[in-house]
Amino acid sequence: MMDLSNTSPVPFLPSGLAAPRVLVVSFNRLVPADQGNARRIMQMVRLYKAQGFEVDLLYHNEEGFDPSLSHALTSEFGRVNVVRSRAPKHIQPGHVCRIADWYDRGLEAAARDMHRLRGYSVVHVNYVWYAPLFDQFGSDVVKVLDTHDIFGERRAKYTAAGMKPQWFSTTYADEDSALRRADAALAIQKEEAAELAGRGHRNILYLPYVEPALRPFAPRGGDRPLTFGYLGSANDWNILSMTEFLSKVQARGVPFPHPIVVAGGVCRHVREGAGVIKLGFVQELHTFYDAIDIALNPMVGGTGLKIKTVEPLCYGRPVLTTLPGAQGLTHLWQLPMFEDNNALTDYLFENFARGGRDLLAHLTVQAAATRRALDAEYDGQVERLARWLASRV
Amino acid sequence: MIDADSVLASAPTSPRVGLVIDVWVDLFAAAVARNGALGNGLPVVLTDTLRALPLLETQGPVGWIHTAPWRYQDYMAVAQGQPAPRLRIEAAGAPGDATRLLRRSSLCLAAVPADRAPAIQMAALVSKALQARVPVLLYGPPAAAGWPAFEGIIRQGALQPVQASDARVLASAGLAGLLGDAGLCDIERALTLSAQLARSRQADLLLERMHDGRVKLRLRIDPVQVVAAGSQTLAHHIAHEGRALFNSRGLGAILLPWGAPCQARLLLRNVRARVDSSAIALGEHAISPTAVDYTDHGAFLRLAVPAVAPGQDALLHLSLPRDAVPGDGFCDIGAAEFTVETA
Repeated sequence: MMDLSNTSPVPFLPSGLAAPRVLVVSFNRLVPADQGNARRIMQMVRLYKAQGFEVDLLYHNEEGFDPSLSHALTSEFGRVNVVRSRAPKHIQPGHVCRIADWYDRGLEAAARDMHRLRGYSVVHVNYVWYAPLFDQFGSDVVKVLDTHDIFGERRAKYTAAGMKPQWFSTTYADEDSALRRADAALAIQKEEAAELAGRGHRNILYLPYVEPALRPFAPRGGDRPLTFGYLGSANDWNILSMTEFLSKVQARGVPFPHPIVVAGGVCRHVREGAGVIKLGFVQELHTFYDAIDIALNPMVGGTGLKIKTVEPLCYGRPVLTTLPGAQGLTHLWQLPMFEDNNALTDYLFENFARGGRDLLAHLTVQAAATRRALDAEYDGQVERLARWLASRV
Repeated sequence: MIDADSVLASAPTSPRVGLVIDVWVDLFAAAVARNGALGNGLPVVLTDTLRALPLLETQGPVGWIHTAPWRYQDYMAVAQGQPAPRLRIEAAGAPGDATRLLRRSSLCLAAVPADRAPAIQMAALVSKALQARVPVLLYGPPAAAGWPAFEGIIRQGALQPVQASDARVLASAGLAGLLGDAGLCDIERALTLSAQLARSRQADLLLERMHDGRVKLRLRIDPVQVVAAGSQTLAHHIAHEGRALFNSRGLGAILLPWGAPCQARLLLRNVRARVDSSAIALGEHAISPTAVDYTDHGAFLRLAVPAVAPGQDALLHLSLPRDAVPGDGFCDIGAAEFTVETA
């Protein structure tokens, strides 16, 4: 089981030298990291620290700032500067966003001053529209862009699912131009890395999202009924996916014999139904995962990080997911995967209509094997990134 | 209690030069930075007390290395952002960071301590700066007890004496060349800098040549750049609000721009009662306001501030009357002005 917080630094720096410094630039409220992208960024922060870096933060304040956040950030980072976001963020007709319209030049002076004060070896920005900030740093500073997602023509994925495009979507040309500014661009999924490489980029490093394992894989005892669960925010993909899944369950005409617990912002958009228990916002993730036996991820589409698929594996719970929910993980996945919500619903009714405790034990073994495969892949990719950093810093 | 009229007259003419030496150092270093002589490098100040050089900071960030601990959090401005802590490193606690900062610096200003122990530590740092070919300026009152620790470095580094009235100043050869015949206290250079800073709106600085050859310097500064927090809670509130706050009990601290005697004018906002009876102190000096003007903007407090004693932090402590402190918010300093007469 991998615990990044306990990972020994790779000794790529001769002993006696001061720790190299990395500047992380983020618009996310990183503490507590309760959103997927914030958690990915904190994964990178832990990774840099494990490699022996001292990490500073330039917080592009788009998600609020208050004394408690100030306290939390100064505990986590070496130095923190906070800049108010003034990016115009225009969205042109057809939902086309230009990087120049989303990039905030107001970051530049603060970034330059921080570099003068602290002398960074690496600057790490998140999302392609922050790539122009690299121009403020000389060739002696290693430039890392964490893409989080592919944003070139991202709107098409929404349109294909019958949804209105949301957030950032740009042209391939704009995205390619941003990627070329980086010494390394991190792809969060293997498929995304392959797609970017297929577009001619030779600076792509694949680094999946994995969090430290917090619970062992062991079916719990006791008399509690077998419980299924889904936790998600109120984004369009989650609402669409959960609505479709529950409608498929209810269309069976017979009630599913096990409770389905729904938690997170998506609860506000989920209809009441027999056997559906809505928890709403949960303060701590373990309270949700401790309350369920099997996690569900009935995604019908989406982009980027599939945190709901990986997260249960940190809490010792197996996950049943559709193929879109396992995107980027299919080559490692050892649990059942389903073409769509019809297939997922069929599986649930066929295997859990009468009990299913034995199957739970089997799924738990598969989940543990999946977790080990994920950890092995992550360790391999971290080592690759560490070697690359060592060659550059 | 300090009387307004006695402040500037309190020091005889000759020692006053020593008291205002950091004003001249600030003017000179800011002029050097403004003229691009530092490139992309960082000016670094070595000190054993909590001080600021606000004019140099108008030209970019400044690193501070301390040879004695300090207990207050102070702030630098961040473009379009919340104030950030001034970069202060305690040499004994983080020797690696201190050395690293020095090696990256393009100018090293060393305020010679009043005591021998911090001077020995500072001399070792100056030696590292010289080894890294960083231009160095040593300055302080000639009587400072720390000077003997630097004598070897002065010889080995071939530091040259610089004309600075009766203050003792020594500089690396290249830096001494920049100073010119007038030395550190070059009024023409100061007037030029003042005009440049005003034109570029980098500072609200007014310099006046007085009839006796001295210069009166008036600085209006964003109070956040001189506020100091004595607790973590207050420090995070200041970072969050970007205001020069007092704490919830009406306690606040100001980091005086220089150690020189000065006239200070502070606008206290959100006070709910008269503040004439505020307790104000600088080191062992208790200070009474020379005047308090109550306006729609708040209470303007006028203070005659004596020189900061050698070896002491330039911290002015204020304690507002309890009935002046709102129960549902903070008082703050909305404007700050400091006037100094140089020798």
